[in-house]
Amino acid sequence: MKTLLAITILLLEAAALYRHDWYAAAAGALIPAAGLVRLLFVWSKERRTAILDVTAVLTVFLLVWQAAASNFRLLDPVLFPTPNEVIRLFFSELKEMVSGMFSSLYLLGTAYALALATAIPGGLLVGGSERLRNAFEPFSKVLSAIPPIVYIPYAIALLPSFSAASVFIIWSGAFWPVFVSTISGVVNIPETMLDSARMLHLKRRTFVFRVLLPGAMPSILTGASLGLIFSFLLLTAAELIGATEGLGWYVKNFSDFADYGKVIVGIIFIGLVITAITAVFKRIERYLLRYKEAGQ
Amino acid sequence: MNDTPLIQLHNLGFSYAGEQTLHGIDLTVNESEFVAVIGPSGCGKSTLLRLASGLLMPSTGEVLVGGKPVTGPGLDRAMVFQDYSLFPWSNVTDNIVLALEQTHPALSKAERRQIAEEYLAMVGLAGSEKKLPGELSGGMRQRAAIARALAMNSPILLMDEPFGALDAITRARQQDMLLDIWQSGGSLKKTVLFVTHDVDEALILAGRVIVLGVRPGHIAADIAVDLPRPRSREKSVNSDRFRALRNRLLHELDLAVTRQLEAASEVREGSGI
Repeated sequence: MKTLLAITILLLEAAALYRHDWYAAAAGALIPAAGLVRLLFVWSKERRTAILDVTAVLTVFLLVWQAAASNFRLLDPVLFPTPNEVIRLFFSELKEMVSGMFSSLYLLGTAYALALATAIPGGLLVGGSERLRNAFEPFSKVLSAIPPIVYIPYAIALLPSFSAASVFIIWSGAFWPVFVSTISGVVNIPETMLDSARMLHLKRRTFVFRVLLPGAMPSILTGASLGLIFSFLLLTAAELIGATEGLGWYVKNFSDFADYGKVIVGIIFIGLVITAITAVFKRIERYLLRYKEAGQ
Repeated sequence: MNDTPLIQLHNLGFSYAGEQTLHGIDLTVNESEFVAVIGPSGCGKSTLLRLASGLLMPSTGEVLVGGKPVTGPGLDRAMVFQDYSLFPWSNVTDNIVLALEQTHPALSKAERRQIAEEYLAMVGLAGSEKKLPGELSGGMRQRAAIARALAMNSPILLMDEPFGALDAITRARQQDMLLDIWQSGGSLKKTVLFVTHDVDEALILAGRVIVLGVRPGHIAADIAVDLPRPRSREKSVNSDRFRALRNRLLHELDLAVTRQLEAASEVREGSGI
């Protein structure tokens, strides 16, 4: 495995240097180098093997792509830029993509925060009362089943600006999973635990914050993670349709100009951003449910 | 001390979904009495306790505590359940502190923590103050739940099969601990209503055992447990009086179960017509 890695690196490097492609040379060295540096900090045998394997898969993938797109001309050069080109573009476009990311994250953050701020209190309220639950159930069943994408044309017509429309769309995508899971979280709190809380004669506020909310939290977080995925989906969909900036717009704009190198770079960047956000979410989830890890 | 019994159940009845689970229960419990309620499963003993706690409202009759009708849960009654008494997301100290915030609103945070730690030490959980309920064994969890109920300093302690889910040895230890605490007197000698299905447990702990019959649940026997106090498990279990009481209780329970089976077969035959 180590020999294969070394050969791959050398080949990539040789190709890049031969073409005087300094970006690619740097990046081609960077991926295996990053993998090897990581090895210095990891001692578990399984993890070391995993890191080596990931580095190998990535490097071999790049090598095959490079060979197919450039050296053997198997792929249409317009649709399939070489990895060297993509890596070079990634760094030269980084500044613009980061500013696009901030515009996207602004929409996403606003809409997602609004969704949590409405769905969690709403879910706690409705979940805590059988009567409200019965009253809202048919509506939440029908409304949560509607794919929020169908609201896009209407939202654009209805709301004054693109950002307002997309915030509404993303909100409607994230709201339902969080709302429904908050209700089921409240309903699934063991009855004895609620009785125990009742015996303490807690004030309404204390009951909500110290019993209902933490009791429903595991379910709320499941819904929130689903809501986050829907948010990404709807954010990029909305940006593809009506935006003038942002990550979805970036991809759409350059594919209109048939600049597929930038399209691929944009897609990779979106992947990285979403992965990073999901990782942060998982961290928060683990922190909030840390009592579960301590148990059993 | 006044003469009114602390807990009075008057002609108490409870029906749910058209089925009567309890009927015509008359029971008075005096201050500092330890009363066990025993009966076959389905006799409504837990329902009886939930009516006394105010978690359930009776269909007929009323529950009086200190002469006043019960309209819901109150801080004069602390309850220990078989499980889930504590909130799993807070450590045991915070669980007790939350209860103390309700019962002792005038105290400072530090004072509440101190009380919590005292009671945890009393049940043998010194050193586990920062532990989450999930990190404790079932027996330790029940100790913490008992510590919380005692720390609240409510005059009445309601216990719903608190040791029912524990293994035999742990259960015996918990019984000894509860017996010692209750017998140490003073404010710890609560008025206890203790639901169990374990005959020995009832006799070791209680001064009086109420046997519930079935269909609908009613008081089948009210037996005074005249074993001398202070008791210890060993002294009690090896006495002739204990054996006599045990036989009597088992006989009463046997009668209750037989009636339950007869009633069940009548229903089956009836439906066959």
